[in-house]
Amino acid sequence: MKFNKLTKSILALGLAAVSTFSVVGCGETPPPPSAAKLSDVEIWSTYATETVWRDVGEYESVKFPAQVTLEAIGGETESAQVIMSTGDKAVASYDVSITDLYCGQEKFDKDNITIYSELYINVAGTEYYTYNGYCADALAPFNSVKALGENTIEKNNNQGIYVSFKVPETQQPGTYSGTLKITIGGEDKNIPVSLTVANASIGIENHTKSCFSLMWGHVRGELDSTERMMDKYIEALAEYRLGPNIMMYRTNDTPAEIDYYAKKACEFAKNPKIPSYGLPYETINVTSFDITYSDGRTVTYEKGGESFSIYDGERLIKYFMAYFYEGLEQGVDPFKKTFIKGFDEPFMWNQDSTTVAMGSYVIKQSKEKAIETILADESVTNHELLNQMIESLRKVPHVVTDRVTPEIYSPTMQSPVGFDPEVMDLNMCPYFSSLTNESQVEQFRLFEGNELWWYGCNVPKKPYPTYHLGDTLLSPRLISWMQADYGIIGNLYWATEYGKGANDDGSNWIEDYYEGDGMRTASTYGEGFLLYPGKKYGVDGPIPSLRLEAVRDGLEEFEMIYKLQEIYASKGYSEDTIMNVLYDTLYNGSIIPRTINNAIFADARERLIDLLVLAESDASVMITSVKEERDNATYGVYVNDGFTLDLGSEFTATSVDVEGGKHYTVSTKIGNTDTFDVKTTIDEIEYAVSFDMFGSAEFYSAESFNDQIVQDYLHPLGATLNKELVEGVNPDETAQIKYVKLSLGDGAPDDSIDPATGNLMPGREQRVVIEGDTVSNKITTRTNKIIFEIWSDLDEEIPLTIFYKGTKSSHSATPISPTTLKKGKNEIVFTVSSGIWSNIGKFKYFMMAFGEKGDLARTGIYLVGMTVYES
Amino acid sequence: MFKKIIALLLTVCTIFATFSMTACSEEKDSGKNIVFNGFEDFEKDLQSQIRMLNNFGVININFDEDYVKFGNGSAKIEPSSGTNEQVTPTFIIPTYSSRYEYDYKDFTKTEKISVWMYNAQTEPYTFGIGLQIGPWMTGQWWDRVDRTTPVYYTLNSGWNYIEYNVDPTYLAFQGEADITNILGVVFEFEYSSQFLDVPVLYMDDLRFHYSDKAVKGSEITIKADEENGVWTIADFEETIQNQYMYMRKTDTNNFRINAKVVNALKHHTTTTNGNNVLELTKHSGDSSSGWPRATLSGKVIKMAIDKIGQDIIDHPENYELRFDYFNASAVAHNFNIMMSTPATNNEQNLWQSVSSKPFTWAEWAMNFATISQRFQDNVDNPDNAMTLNPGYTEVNFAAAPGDMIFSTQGFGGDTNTRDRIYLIDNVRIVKKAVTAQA
Repeated sequence: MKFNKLTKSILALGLAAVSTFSVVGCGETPPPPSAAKLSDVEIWSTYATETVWRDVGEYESVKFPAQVTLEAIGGETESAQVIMSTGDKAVASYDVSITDLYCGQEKFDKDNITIYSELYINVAGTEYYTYNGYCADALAPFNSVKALGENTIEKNNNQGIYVSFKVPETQQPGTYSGTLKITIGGEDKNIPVSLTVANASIGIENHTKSCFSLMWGHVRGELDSTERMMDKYIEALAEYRLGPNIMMYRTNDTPAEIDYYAKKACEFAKNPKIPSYGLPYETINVTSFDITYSDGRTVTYEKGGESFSIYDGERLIKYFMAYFYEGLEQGVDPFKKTFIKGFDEPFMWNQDSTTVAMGSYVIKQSKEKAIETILADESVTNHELLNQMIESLRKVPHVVTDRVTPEIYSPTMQSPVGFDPEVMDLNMCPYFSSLTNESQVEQFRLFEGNELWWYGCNVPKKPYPTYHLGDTLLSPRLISWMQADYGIIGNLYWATEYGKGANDDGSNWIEDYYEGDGMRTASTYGEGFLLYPGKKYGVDGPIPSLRLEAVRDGLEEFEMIYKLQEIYASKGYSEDTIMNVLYDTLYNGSIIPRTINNAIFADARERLIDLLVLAESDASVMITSVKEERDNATYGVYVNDGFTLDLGSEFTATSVDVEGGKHYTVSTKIGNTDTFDVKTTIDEIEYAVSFDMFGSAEFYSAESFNDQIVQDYLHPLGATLNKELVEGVNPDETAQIKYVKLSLGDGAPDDSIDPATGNLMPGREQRVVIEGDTVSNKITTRTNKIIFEIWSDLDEEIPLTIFYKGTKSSHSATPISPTTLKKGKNEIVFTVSSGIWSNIGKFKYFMMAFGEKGDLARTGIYLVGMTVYES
Repeated sequence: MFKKIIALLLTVCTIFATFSMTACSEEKDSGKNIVFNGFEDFEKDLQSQIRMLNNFGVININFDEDYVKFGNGSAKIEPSSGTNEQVTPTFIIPTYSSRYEYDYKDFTKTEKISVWMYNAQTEPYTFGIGLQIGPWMTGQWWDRVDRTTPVYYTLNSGWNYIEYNVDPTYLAFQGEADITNILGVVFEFEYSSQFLDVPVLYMDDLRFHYSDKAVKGSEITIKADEENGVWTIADFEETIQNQYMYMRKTDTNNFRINAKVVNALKHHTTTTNGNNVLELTKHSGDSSSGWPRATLSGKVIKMAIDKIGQDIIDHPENYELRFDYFNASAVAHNFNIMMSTPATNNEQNLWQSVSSKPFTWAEWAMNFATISQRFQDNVDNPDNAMTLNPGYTEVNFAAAPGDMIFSTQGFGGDTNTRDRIYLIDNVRIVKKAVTAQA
C-alpha cells in the first residue's frame, strides 16, 4: 500500500503532533551545549604516530604549533595530525577544509588529501595501557562525520583531525604550501600546510607478503555477508599494502567454488596493489602416513591406531589445477602471490613435529603431482606462462605459525621426523619476539633462501611490536623496518576485523563499534581489528584506523629500503651497515625500547629518505660501509663518475676508481667532528645526508675491570666462574692488552658439574656479572652506545644474552638483544637509547648469560673489553 | 473515507506515542504496544541491533519512501547465501540492549509481535518468525543459542502486515525456554544464491503488543481414540504444531534443519490422516560433521501420556511410540532418532538409525519398555557416563518422558547437491494389544 498525498499530510501532522508528545513524555530536553568560540579551543599539531586520547593524557612534549609540516616521497601516503582541545566549553560544531597546495606553478591537488575525524574507542585497561579512557583509533571521513552531525567536541576533550596526503608517484619534487582551515563558532583558523616531496619514489607494487585475515567479523558490522563486500575489504587492505588470507567464505570446495576462487586469484594477481593472498586447505583424518625422504628411506607414521589429521592433498591439487588453467586463460600467474597459511601454532597446541612434517610433505608432494599432470597435458606445452607458473607453484610458501624453535628442524636428518627440504615445503612464522637476532632468524628460516614470515597477536606484548591499543603507533610501523633488517618477507595477522565483542552482558555482540569496548578478544585492547565498518560513514567497505595507517607507513618505508637495497646491489654494494646505524636507533633485536619516541623515529626516517634521494640521484651516492672500531670511525662512499662529493675536512679520504665511479674510504677519530656529512650537487641542487657522530669513544680493556667480573651471585644456580688473564689469543691482537679468560663451570670443585657427563647440572647457567665503580663510572647519561668485544675459541656457536640493570630499575634486568657467539672476534652492540636513564637511574651492572641451562661446561671464552661511545 | 483518515490519524498518533514509550522504556506493561524497532537509523536500529548470522546477505537502511511504512526509514533486506552453501538466511534482533538501556526480555504479557513486510517480488515469498529462547552462556555465539521453530508466513507482493502470536503453551515446549527471559526475535528467509537475482524485502515497524495481564496460552488437545488405542501427539493439521519442535543450540546456522508444517501435496503425496505433514529439510551444501537436528518437545509427549494415565507407566511394554515418515528425496538415506529423559539428566540416548527409501512412506515404532531399557542399559554399564538423576531408581520413559530428536547425521555421504527432505506425520502412542485385536 502506498499513501496518497492527503494521507501523507495527515501522517506528517500526526508525526509533528506526537513528536511534541515525545518531548513531553520523555521529560526535560537537555540544554544545548555551550558554544565554544575559536579562542576557547587550543589547536595544535603533533606527529601522525602520536596517539592522543580524547579525555586523558599529557602531551606537552609532543605539542607543536598549529601547522602541518611533513616530508614524503612519490608513491607514499604520509599524514599529519591536528588536535583541537576544548576547555570548559564544548564545541557545537567544527568544520575542516583544505586548499590545493602549490610549489611555484606545480600543484598538489587536494583530491589527493583526505581529512579524517578521529574516533575514540574505550580502553578501560590495566597498567599495560598508557591510560584508561578513550583512545583515538578509527578514522572516519570528515565529510561523513559532518553529515551525521558528529562534528562536535565535548568540553575538556581532544579531537584529532588526521590529514592524509597521497603523493602521486610522479609528483614533482619541491615544497608545496597551502592552508588547512578549521572553523569553530563561525570563526576560521588558517593553519599553514607544508608538504615537501623529496626527489625519490616508490611504486605501488609490494615486496613484502602479508596474511591479514578477514574473519568475517565485518559481516556483522556492515550487515553484509556477500562476496562483493568481502572484495571491498580486500581492496581496502590492498590500499594499505596488505593482503588477505582466504579470499572468500567457503565451505565445501565444490568445483564451482574452486573455479570462483581461481578466478579471484587471477583477478588479484593482476592487481599490483595486492601483495599476496591465501589458498585454502582442508584436513582429512588418517591412521597412518608414509614419508619417503630424499635419501630413499620410507617412514610410516602411526599414532597407536589413533586417527590424526593431515592436509587433504587431493583438494590442494584441485586448487592448483584450477589456478593453473585459469591463469593460462587470463594470461597471469596466480601462484606468484599465493601462500598457504597452514597449521596454526601446532607446537604450542601440542601437535608434535611429525604433524608438521607430514603437512609439509603433503604440500610439496601435492604441488609435484599437480605439476606432473600439467606437464602431461600436451595442449599447454608451448604456453609462454608454463615454466613461470610451475616455478611459482613450487615456491608457494607453506606458512606455519609458532613461537617456538622449530624442533622439526634436523639438518642432519638424524631425526625420523627431520625436515627434509627436498621432499617438504615449510616456511616458519614465529612470533615477533622469537626473532631477536640474525642467528634466530636464520634458524627459523630453516635453510638459506627460504621465505620467512613472522607474526604477533595477543602476545607478544610490548616492548615487542604489537598492534595493541595503548602501545605506541611506532610499534606497528617498525615491524616493516625490522622485516627489511632481517630479511623477513611475510607478516601474518590473524584478524583485521574481528567482530566478537566482550560486552558487559556477555552477548558477544558489538553494539558500538566505534566507541564501545576496545577489547574484543583475549586480554589486549585493539587485538584482532584494524578496520571498522564503513557503512555508517557512507563508505562501501571499511574505514581505517590509526594503527592501520602506521602499518602502511611502515610498509612504505620497507619499499624505500628495498629500493635502496636494489640500487646499492646494482653497484655491488650493500646498504646494510648504514641502515644498521638507523635500525640501532629504533630497536634492539625486536624490542622497541620505551625510550624510542616520535622525534627519534622522524630523524631516522629523514635519514632514510636522504639516503634514497642520494642513491636515486644521477650521482648514485651510496654509503657502502660504516665501521666504528674502538675510537676510529671509517665510512665507505660511492659516487658516479662526473660527480663530486663534499665529505668534510675533518675526514681523511682515499679513493679508488671502480666501474662507473669512485669509491672513497673516509675515516676520522671519533670526537673530531659532530657529524658525518655526505653532500653532492646536481644541477645546482645540493643533496645531502648527515649522521650524528659520537662525541667520544673510549676503549676499556677487560683487564682494567677484571676485578669486577664476578660469578653470577644473583642466581644461586649460576655456574662456578674461574678467570685468568691471558695474552690476547688473536695472533693479530697480541699487543698490549690481556684478555680475561672465562671458565664457566670448568674444573669447578663443587656441585655445579654433573660428574657423569661433565656438563653443568640441570638448571645451572653460565653467567657472569660485571659490577663495580670502575665500570659504572664509565657509563654515564651521555653514553649512547657500548660495544663489547668477546673472543671465542670454541668451534661451536653458542647463545649469548647480555642484560643490564640500573639503580632505579624495579623490574628484573633488561636483556640487550640476544645474539650468538661465533668463533673468533665478536662485537656485541648495545645501543643506549636517549632517555633510558630517566627510567633506570644510574647504571648498576651487566650480566652475561652464555649457552643454555644445563649446558656444556666451557672454557675458551675471553672478554676483551668494551668501547663506550658518548654523544 | 473521512472515517478512514481519522482512523489513520489515530493510528499514527498511537504509533508515535509508542515511539515515546520506546525512548522512555517504562511503558511496556501499559496494555498497549511499543514500536520495538522503527528502522530509522543505520547504526542505532540496524548495526547495533540486528544480529545477522553468517551468510545472510545484506541489510541496509532504506529511505526511499516507496518502501517505508512509517517514519522515514525501513530496513532493506536482501537475503542470500554463500556461493554454494544453502543455509537459511537468518537474523535476530535481541530484546534488550545495554547501550540503549532497554529490556523487553519478559514476555509474560507479550501477546504478539507485529511487523510490516514489503515483498518487492511479483511472486509470493515465505519468511518465518521465531524467538531466541536461550539459555546461553557467556562467551557463547549468538547463533548457537536455542531458538524456537519459526512460524512461516507467505508474503504477497507489496506490503504485508504480519502478526506472530506469542503463545505460552507452545513456548513451554521449546527446550528450556523461560518466558521471562526471551532473548530475541528471529527472522528467517528463503535461501537464494547471492550470484543470482536476490529477492528484495523491506521491514518496518516491528512492534511488541502487550496485554494488561499475563497472556493465557492455548489449550493443547491430544486426540484420543481410546477405542483403537491411539493417542495422537501431533498430526500437524494445525500449522502451529510446528512449534512442538524446537532447535537446539547445536543447530548452528550452517548445520540446521528447517521444520515447517506443509501440505503433503507439495511433495506429491498424501497422508492417511488430513492434509498436512511436518517437513524437515536439511539443505544441501553441508558436508560437515555437524549434527543437525529437530527436536519434538518431551512436554507434548508427556501430555499424551498423561491422557493415557497410569497404565502406560505400569505397563510400558503395551505401548509404542510411533510416527510415519516419508523420504521426499530421490536418494535412499538414513536419519537418526534420539530420545532423552529427565531420569538421566536429559542426556540424549537411544540412537537408532532409520533407513528410508525415496518417495516412500514408512512407519517407525518403538516400545516404551524398550526405550526405557535402552537408557537403563546405559546407566547400568560401568563404562558409560550416563547416570540416573537423583530421585529416580530406574528409567521408565513413560513416567519421565523427554525429547524426541530427529537428527540428520545419517545424511553423511551426501554429495551436497540437493536438499534432504523428510515428511513426518502422526506422531502417536499406540496401545499394542488393542492394535493387535483390531
